[in-house]
Amino acid sequence: MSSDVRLPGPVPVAGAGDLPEVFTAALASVSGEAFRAAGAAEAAQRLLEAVPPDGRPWFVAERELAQALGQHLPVTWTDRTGLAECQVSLTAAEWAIADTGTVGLLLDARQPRACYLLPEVHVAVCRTNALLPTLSDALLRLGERDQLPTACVFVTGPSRTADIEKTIVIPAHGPKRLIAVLLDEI
Amino acid sequence: MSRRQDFARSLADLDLRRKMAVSMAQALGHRAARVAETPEWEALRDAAQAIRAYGLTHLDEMLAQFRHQLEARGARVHWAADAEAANRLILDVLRARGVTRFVKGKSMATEETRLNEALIAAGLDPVETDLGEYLVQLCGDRPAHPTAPAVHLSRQDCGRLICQHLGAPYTDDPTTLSLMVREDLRSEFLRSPAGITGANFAVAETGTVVIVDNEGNQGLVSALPDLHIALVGIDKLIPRLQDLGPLLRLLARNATGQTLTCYTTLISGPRQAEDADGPRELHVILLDNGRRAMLADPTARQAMTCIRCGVCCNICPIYSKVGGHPYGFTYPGAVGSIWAAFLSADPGAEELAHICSLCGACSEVCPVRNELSHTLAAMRRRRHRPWAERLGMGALAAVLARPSLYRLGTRLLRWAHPFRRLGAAVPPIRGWTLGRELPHPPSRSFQESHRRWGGHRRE
Repeated sequence: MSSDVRLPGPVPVAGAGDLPEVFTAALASVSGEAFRAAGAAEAAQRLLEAVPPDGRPWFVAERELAQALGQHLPVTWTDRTGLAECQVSLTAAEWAIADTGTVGLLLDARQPRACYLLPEVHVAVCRTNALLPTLSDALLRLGERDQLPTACVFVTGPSRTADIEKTIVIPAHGPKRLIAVLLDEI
Repeated sequence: MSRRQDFARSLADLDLRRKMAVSMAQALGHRAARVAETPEWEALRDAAQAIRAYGLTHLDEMLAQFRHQLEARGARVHWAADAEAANRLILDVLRARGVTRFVKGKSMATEETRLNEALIAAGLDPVETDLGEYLVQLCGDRPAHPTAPAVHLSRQDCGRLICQHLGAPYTDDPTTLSLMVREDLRSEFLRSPAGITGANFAVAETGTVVIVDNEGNQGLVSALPDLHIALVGIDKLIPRLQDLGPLLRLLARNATGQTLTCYTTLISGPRQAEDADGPRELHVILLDNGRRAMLADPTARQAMTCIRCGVCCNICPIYSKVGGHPYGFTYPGAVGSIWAAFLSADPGAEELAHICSLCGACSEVCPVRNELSHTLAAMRRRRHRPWAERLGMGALAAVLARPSLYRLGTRLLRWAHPFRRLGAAVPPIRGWTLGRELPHPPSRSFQESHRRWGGHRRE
């Protein structure tokens, strides 16, 4: 940008608080679920309690975080061709945003664009230390990359609509449930 | 005259008034809760205003950068001078690929260009996938609100439309209806050869098209088909990726009272060799259609900074009674009345500047601090005024400038009050008296009372 720019810097947020707590509360307020686990084995155990497998395959993104959890799960995996029929999609979030209960996903070779939308349940795994206070923090991180992936998405809760007399209905076209897993260590 | 009648008809529609009252109160209530829990609210507005004001003076630079970045990733960027050019471009791209039936995400720009009508006339078959737009398409209507297109429909209206369309037994339960539409559209998403969306923002720095939605349809429309076309007004450009921070936070909180919409999708190119999926072709059409004329107008240009949250509609004492239809223009409410003067093909659209009480409520809540009512007042002043209005205002000015004439006038008005209905017969006066009751003047004017109580008169 040219030098005469008088564009504002990030707007600071008052009192960010304990990020995992703020994140969990914010996600709950938009009907999302979140839990924190010390390691992948524990996370997988908690996930199985939250989402009992119903026999349909699960999609597991080819990213370290998703794979780490996936290897502890007694479910059949599917690739992206089976997305429309699978029960759960297990993705890796680059960041989680405390303020709004949001997970940020990069969509590229290892994580297809449609993966978080087609299955009934979307599970996004994020490192606890990738929790950021606001969307602006995540956008600054994203902008620091050499090149943006051709698609990325910030997800805040399961899909919803309120087009009929403002009554909130979950799901709309996307998942019925969004579960965020904060992982301390892989 | 017909626009006036449209407003009168909507105003008399008590069922519509009930639906509007409930929806607007709810939207404003949710917004107020978000404002209360966001201590940095005014700082966010300052930032948003500065970001959008930058766009007014750097548009060409931003457009060039946006185009360069997107084309470097293999997207095609087109310019469309007007609605017809945009529709033509889209039709050509779709035809060249043999597309007939395809999915669409909610887009006010495509409403503005009347894209669906143009494509249907050419034998194509667009399928709206946002529930509100789906409903509006089913009843052959136009959106009544920028973010809530079906705000004018009751759950019974929705039930009849959806059940009839899908051949299902009648229900008016919003959950059942929404799930029926989800089921119906899922197969459309999976087989559609093309997807058309609008954009909420376009980031110059990174060549990114930003789309927000709650339903997940925008993500599906832009991810699953092999061809994605985005129609983007040139007003959507913002300089930097980080500018999305304050803008998105304000947009959701103002529009629906959410902290953020469910999905914020950032698209910076078509599928690359290394990508797992996504459209092989991405076309972005940059639409002018009167925006440059608005930008060149020092009075109205500020309205270009609008981020389409719709809060100026929700809070407007006029819009909130009648909804968007009587405005007869894609973008209703205060900001829409400004836009209409530049974007509408209807020369009568300038009249919309007069459909405003100038109360200023919209200016107070606007996230980018648009002085909407000031702009509308300024636009009124420069409009050609009818002779009766000029004569009347001239006479009034003469009377108000002369205390003796003024005092005589107040006495005359008191005598004339019983004959006020006669005024309704005189055409130029009727416009004013229709729907207004001339209040009964007090037996003593303020000045007379003042004297009576021992005050002094200053001449």
